[in-house]
Amino acid sequence: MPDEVTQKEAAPDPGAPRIGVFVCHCGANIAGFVDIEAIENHARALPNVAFTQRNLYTCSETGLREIKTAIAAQKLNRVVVASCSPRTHEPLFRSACREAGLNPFLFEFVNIRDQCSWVHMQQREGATRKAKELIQMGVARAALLEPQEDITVGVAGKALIIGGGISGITATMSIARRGFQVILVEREKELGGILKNVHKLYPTMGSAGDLIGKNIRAVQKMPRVQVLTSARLVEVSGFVGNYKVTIDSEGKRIEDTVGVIVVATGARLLTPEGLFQYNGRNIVTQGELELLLKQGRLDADSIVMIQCVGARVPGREYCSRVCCMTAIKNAILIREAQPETAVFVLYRDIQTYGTLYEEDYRRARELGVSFIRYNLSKPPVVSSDKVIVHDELLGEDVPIPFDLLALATPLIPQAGFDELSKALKVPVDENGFFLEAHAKLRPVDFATDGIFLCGCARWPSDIGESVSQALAAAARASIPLSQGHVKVEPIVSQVDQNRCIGCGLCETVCSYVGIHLTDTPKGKKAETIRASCKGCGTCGASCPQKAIRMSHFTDGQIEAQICALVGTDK
Amino acid sequence: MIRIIRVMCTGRVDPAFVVWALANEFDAVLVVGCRIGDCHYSSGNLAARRRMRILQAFIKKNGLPPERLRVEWISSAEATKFSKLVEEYAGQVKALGPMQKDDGTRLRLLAMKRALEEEKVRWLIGNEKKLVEEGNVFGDKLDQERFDAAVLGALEDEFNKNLIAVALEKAPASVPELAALSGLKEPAVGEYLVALEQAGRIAPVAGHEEYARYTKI
Ligand code: SF4
Ligand code: SF4
Repeated sequence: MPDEVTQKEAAPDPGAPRIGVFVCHCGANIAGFVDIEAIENHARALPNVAFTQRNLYTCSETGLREIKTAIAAQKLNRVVVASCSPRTHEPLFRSACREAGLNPFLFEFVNIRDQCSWVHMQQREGATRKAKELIQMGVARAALLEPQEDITVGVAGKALIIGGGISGITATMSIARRGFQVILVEREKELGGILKNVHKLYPTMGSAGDLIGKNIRAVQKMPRVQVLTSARLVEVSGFVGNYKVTIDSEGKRIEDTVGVIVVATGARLLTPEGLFQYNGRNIVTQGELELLLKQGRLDADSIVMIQCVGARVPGREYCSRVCCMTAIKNAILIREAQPETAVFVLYRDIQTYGTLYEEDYRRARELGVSFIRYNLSKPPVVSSDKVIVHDELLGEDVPIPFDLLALATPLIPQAGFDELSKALKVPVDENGFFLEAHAKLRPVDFATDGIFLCGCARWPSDIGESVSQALAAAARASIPLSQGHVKVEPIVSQVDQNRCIGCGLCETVCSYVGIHLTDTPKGKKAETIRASCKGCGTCGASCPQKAIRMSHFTDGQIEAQICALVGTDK
Repeated sequence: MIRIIRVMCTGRVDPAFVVWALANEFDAVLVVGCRIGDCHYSSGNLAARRRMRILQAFIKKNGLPPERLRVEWISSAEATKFSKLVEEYAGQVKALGPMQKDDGTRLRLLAMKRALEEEKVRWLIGNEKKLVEEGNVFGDKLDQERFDAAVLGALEDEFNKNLIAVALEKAPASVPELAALSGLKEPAVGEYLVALEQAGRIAPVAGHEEYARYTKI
């Protein structure tokens, strides 16, 4: 049963608080900028604090062992770690507590690195005082913490992949190969995405059509895979393990339940309307040049390419990453096939990172491609058959006649990204690309459990990168699928039905169907649906009767934290 | 320097917390959440925005600079924007000077907090979207101004009542004393006392003075 929710008996009351405070040096990251001894001394004098200790790295094997030893030896029933960010380290410290037999929700995190030593590097005294006070607030909150038991939810053994380009196809096949059902949803009539229009691939110079064609045929034949084209996701509700999805495919409505979702919607190329006299005839995009090459229709004696068209400019600051190599690849192909054709690349900076790509750059120069550097403040001036470029290095204007001008435009977010972002409740960055949970530590996860991302939906990336990300996302998505269940954080709303008057406001403000009115012998009363509730607290802060208690963020805990500093010298 | 209190979502921020902070050593409160439309919890920040707008009006009405509360929406990817905001706001708060710490101010802040915890007030605040944008079952909508007037009226009423209640929690007092303390007219004080007595929160103290004194229960 996928939506069964189980929870153990409520954990026993941990008893009168005996708090242990662990202050981390983080090497010199913290200890180098604050008076760490004074901080520990301050913590030791706080109410309910039974033990304090400084650790060189609290998150190291040694540090974690020290926590566990102290819990046992000092009979600690609350633990406060003053170190770095809960975003990265909370799970680690919570599990250390769990291993020592302490409920992980009796742990409180105080961030004295990001919030003190890092932001106030030049203000030792102030940073020290702030660290002391943050710990004081954390200790006040810790004293009121209550144990919580994990909620376990079953996982439907099926994945939904949105987007049928190379990333989506790769992810689909990887998950299906592991034995799970996959629904692959593609918006267009055919699978293939942007690769359908690409000629050759750098650095192998293999045919893009062959690569994508092979993959399309493979995925279509694959057992356990359902491919839906001309399809789009209409509605999503639910939570990890149990996403109820509605898909519209060629006018038909399909409803299903999936355990995980992978976003692989890709990106599209900017059309440079109004830039450099773009006309789609002799002044085209690099993408359109690619099509000409593919169709063997290229006919020109002088080709000029302009890089960074509409990229790395005010309003669209990012680098699209694939354009330099695309231009270099096409320049090589042209010079190899027809050495009499002159090719000029007008660039601002060349990004050919890594070993193979730099090799291609060298090869292009060897083949006689002219690279001319221009500056954003003096961009090339284009007329119908001539470009005048101000050569940065020569310091003079150089006229170059052309038969064909190719504008390298960046990959930009797919149309409709905002609707998808709203439907899935996952964020996008300021450019409109989907935003992962953590750029380094969780690069293919969304913060929302059970939703993953890969390929150009996340950021412009080339085929190799997209495939790596797709395999990574598939591997991540397979974890809940193969475990068959997931643990949901027990930070949820709890209704005191004796106080509740059934006004229904909580149900109205909740965006997750996390709470609803039900009939009880005493009339309509609110009730939490624990697996759907995300614990945001919006209902709790709204309830007129104050009948909702938010676990782990109770009014009492928050108010204690707020007033913990009363009477402290400022 | 700022002290950070982590909550799951700005939707968790009860207006009472903000007033509680002003009553307890903090000179200002900055509520920061995801960008509007980008809420990690879908729409928690919209609920917060509505609540904080009313709260700001309530703070202003009570003679405090509304700048003591600031609400901003910033994505977690906008670190520079956040640090600029904090620096700028810290400067602004410094210019405002510290909160008054006298007993009278604290009493008023406690009464404000209690008012924000009252059922009627919370019902109105929580239903703003419904009352203003969607209308009742008959499709009647309140315009924004009338809604604001209704909430602020209810808040003032509850504030006055709770001001008397918190004063009596400190020490028993008579009607003239309470009138002097609250700035209300004596008959108004009398009405609130009746309401509090009916709610079982206070009782007259037995004695033979000219004016009855009341105390908390
Ligand atoms: S808002 Fe409070 S009183 Fe109203 S139904 Fe929900 S829990 Fe009950
Ligand atoms: S805490 Fe948030 S998600 Fe949970 S029931 Fe309340 S409003 Fe819904």
